[in-house]
Amino acid sequence: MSGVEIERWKSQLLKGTAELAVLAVLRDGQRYGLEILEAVRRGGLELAEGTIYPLLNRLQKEGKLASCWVQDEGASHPRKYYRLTPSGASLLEAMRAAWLEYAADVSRLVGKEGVHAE
Amino acid sequence: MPSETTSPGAELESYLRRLRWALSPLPSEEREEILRETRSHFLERIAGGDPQARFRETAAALGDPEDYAQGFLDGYRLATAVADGSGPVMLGQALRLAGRGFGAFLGTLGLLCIFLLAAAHLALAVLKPIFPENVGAWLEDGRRLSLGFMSPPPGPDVPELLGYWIIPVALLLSIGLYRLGVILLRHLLRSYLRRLA
Repeated sequence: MSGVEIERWKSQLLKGTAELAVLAVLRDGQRYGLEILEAVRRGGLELAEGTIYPLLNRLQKEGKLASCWVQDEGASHPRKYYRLTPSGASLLEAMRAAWLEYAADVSRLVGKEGVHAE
Repeated sequence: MPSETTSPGAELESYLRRLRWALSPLPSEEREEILRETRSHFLERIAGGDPQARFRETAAALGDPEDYAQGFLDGYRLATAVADGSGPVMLGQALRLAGRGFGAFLGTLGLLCIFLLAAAHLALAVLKPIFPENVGAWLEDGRRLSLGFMSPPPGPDVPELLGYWIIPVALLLSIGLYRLGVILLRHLLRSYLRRLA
């Protein structure tokens, strides 16, 4: 597989996991858009800057996230903070369990002796 | 391209103006919320650095206002179509997105076939009273079942099985196929929504 193909494949993987990553970084409390993006990137997922807000917008419309505008001390402008709703927390737990099981299965499969890259 | 003498404030207003225009299909409340959040994102990025350079970096990372708006528009159109739930509205969205990949193309093609079959069965129910001899369910050679419209109709040696019962049978099949198509369409559009990021 060429480098371009690997990048395309990784981008497909990212599309499938971006929602889980965003929900996961909100597990410990509310954050605003840029904080969420940076937390996801610190976690190793290179989410594009232009995709985070449409994703947050959709999750909010689906009732998985709630938001409010907050004027933080020291900030020159208000920030829109997002938090998980009970429905979002349930979705996160369900996705997390499914992901852990899936990742373990794939790791077991590709980690087997006798499976070699061509 | 912005000129060197333009302040980031003016460039930001210009970016937001283009974004507002690109987001015009959205309800005004949602559009204003997106603009407010985009402005907040820029101000956050610009703070604590060279404003001009930071603005350009952020604008490049978000993309052209028209491209950036597309993520919101796709989400809005898909979610609205799924919430509407009607076959034609959802099919319109599926057709719009059919060119985005081989899977999307195949999925939409399969769904079109299901809806065409539903329409064909509805047509049989409508045509039966008009062409009673041509519409029917025939058992050819004692084993091959043919359901549909035949012109000219088969000879008297080929028995027709349903008579006017073909009307309720074709109607039920048409409704069943249509409902199946709607369920599969909803799944397809939801999978698009999940993959928008």
